[in-house]
Amino acid sequence: MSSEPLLRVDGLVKHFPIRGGILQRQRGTVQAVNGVSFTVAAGQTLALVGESGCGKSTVGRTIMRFHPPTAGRVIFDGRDLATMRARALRGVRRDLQYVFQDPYASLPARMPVGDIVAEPLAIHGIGNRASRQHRVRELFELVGLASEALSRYPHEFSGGQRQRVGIARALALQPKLLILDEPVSALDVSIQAQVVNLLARLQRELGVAYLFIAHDLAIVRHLAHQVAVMYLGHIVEYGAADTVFTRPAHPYTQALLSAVPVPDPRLRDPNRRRLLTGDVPNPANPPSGCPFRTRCWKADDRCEAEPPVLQVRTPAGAETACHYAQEDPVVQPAGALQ
Amino acid sequence: MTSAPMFRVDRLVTEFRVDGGIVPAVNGVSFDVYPGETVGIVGESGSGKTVTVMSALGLLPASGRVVAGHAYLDDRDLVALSERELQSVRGKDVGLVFQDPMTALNPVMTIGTQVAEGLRRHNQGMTRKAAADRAVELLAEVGIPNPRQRARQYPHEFSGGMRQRAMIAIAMANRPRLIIADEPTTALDVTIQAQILDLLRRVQQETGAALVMITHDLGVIAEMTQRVIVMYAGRIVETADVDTTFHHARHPYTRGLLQSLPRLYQPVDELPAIGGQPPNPQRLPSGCAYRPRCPLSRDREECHTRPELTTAAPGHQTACHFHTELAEVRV
Repeated sequence: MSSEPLLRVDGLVKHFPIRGGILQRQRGTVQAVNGVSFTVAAGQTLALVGESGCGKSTVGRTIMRFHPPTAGRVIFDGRDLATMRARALRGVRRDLQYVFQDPYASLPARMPVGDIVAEPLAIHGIGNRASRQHRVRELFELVGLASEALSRYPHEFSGGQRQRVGIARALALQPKLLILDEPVSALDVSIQAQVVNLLARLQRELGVAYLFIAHDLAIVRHLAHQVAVMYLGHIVEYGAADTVFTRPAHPYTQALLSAVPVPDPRLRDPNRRRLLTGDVPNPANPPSGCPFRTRCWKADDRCEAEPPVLQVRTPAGAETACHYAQEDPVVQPAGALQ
Repeated sequence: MTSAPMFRVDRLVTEFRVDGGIVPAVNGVSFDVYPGETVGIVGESGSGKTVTVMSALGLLPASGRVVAGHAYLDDRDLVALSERELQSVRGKDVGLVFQDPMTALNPVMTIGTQVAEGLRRHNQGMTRKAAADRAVELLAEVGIPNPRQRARQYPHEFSGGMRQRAMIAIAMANRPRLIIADEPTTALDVTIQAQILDLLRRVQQETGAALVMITHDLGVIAEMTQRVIVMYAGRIVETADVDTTFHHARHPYTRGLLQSLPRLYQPVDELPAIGGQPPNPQRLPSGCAYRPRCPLSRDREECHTRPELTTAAPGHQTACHFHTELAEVRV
C-alpha cells in the first residue's frame, strides 16, 4: 500500500508502575505493552488477538489515550495522538470511537437509550434537537433496534440489544475507526452471531475501519482482514488473516489455533493439539530474549539471549518474531467439508 | 447401555423467588447418567443447565427451591436429604468443579489444607499428616509443579489455570463416582482451557468416574462428551449421542445454535444467526418456548401446544412437533 494507513501505531510502549508500602514507592513495572507496531487501513479490520494479560486491551485504551503511552507514536489520520493535548484530542474523538466489552456496565443506567445515543451529537454540538432525534432514529434502524425502544432504559434490554445501543452510540459521529474491545464475548452464543453479522454489515455499508480486540479466534476469523497475535506485550505474528490462520509460523500462534475446541465430534483428535506447559510469565518480570521461550518447544540458548525481531521470515509473508519460524499449514480437517 | 444409571434426575422443577414473584428456572427435567460416561449439558444463560444440577446437590441460593421431582444417586433421592446428609455426598460420591475457583476456594486457607480437609472430612481416622501427604500427591497428579511448596500457598498465589487444577484435585480426592463440572474452563484462556480439558479427560480415565460437563461452548461439548443434553428455557429440548447431536439434530434450536457458530476452518460471509432474543423466564411464550424464534414453526398452530420430549430414534429424543421435517435436511 502506498497511501498512508488510517492508523499507524509505531513502537508503542505502555508500562504501569507497581507501587506499594506506606510511601507508595514504585516497586516495579508491569510491561503491559512493549513496543508494538501495526497499521489499520481505512475500511478494514485488524484483529489484535491473544490471551488475557497479553496487552491487547491496553493497546486499544492507549490509542484512545485513556492513559498516556510510555513511548511510541499513534498516527491517526495524519496526526500523532500520543503527544496530542486534551483539547485537540476531543476533536479527533469524533473520528475514533470505542465500544466496550460489557454492555451492562458501559451504558449510563438512568438515561433513556435514545438520549444515550444522542449524547455524542449533543456534546459535539451537532445539529439541533430535532435533527439529532432524526439521526438517532436512523442509527437505531441501522443497528437493528426498533424506534419504540428510544425511550426505554438500558436495564430493559438484553445483552445483545445493549451492545447494539453501544454500537449505535459509537457510530453517531460517523467515525472512521471503531476500537471494539471484546464486543461479543459477554453475549450468549445465539446472540454473538447476530452482532458479528451486524459489525460485518456496518463495515460494508459505512466503510468504517475496526481495531477488533478479541480472544475468540473463530470470531476473528470471520471479521478480520489482518491479524496481530500478541503475547506478553509483544506482537509475535502479524499478517493477512488468511495467512496467519492457515499457515501460522510462530509456535505460539500454532499452539493457540490448535487449542481452540472444534465444534464437531468427528474432528476430535487429541494429537492435533499442541499443549503448552505452564502459564504466561508475569509481565512485571518477563523472561530475557523471546517472551514465549519459557513455554516454547523450540526454545534454545539463542532464544534466551536474543529477542527475535518481528519480520517476514517465511514464504507466505506474515511477519513473525521467532528465530525458528516455520509455517505449519493448518490442514483443513477431513470431514470439515460437507 | 447394559448397566443401571448411577445418577438419575427425574421430573425436576425448580423455582426462584424474585421481587416480581416466582420465576420458573427448571420446568420438569429428567435425564440419566451411566457409570463412567461423559454427558454434556449445553444451553445459554437462563436455560436452567446449572440450576438443574445445583438443585440436585442442594446448592441453590436461598431464593431457589426444588418444587417437585427427584435426583437419585443410585437409590438415594438427594432432593429428600438434609443439608448435613448432602455434605456427606458432596466431595465424596460427587466431586464438583466450578467455573470460578477463586470463589469456590477459601481465600484464607492454604491450597494444601483445603485438599487435606476434603480428605479428612470423608475419611474418619485419617491423620493430619497422612491427609497432608496425600494432598501433595493429589496436587502432583493434577500437574501442579513443586506440589510440596505450592501446597503451602494461598489461592491468590495461584494462576487461574493452577487454581482450577487445585479444584480438580479437591474434586477427585475421594475418588468420586461422579464429577460435575460447571463451565470449568469458561474463565480460562484457550491454551489453559486445553490443559484443563486434557486433565479432566485423564482424571476420568484414571478414576472411571462419570462426568457431567455443563457448558455453553459447543466446541467443548464436541471434544469431551459422549452424550449431549440441550436445554432451552428450563427444559430439555433434545438429547442424543454426540455425533447425532452435531450431525443429525432433530430440534431447530440445536440446529440453529450449530449453524450460528463461527468456525475456524470454514469462514463464511454471513453467519446464519438465530433471530430474536432468549425468552424471559418470567414471560415464557405459550406452547413451545422456542416458537417465536423458530424458523421451522412459522407459527403453526401445533407450536402453541408444548411439545413433549419424544423419541426420534433409539437414544435420541427431541421436543419438537415437526422434528420429522428435519430428518431430511443435512447439517
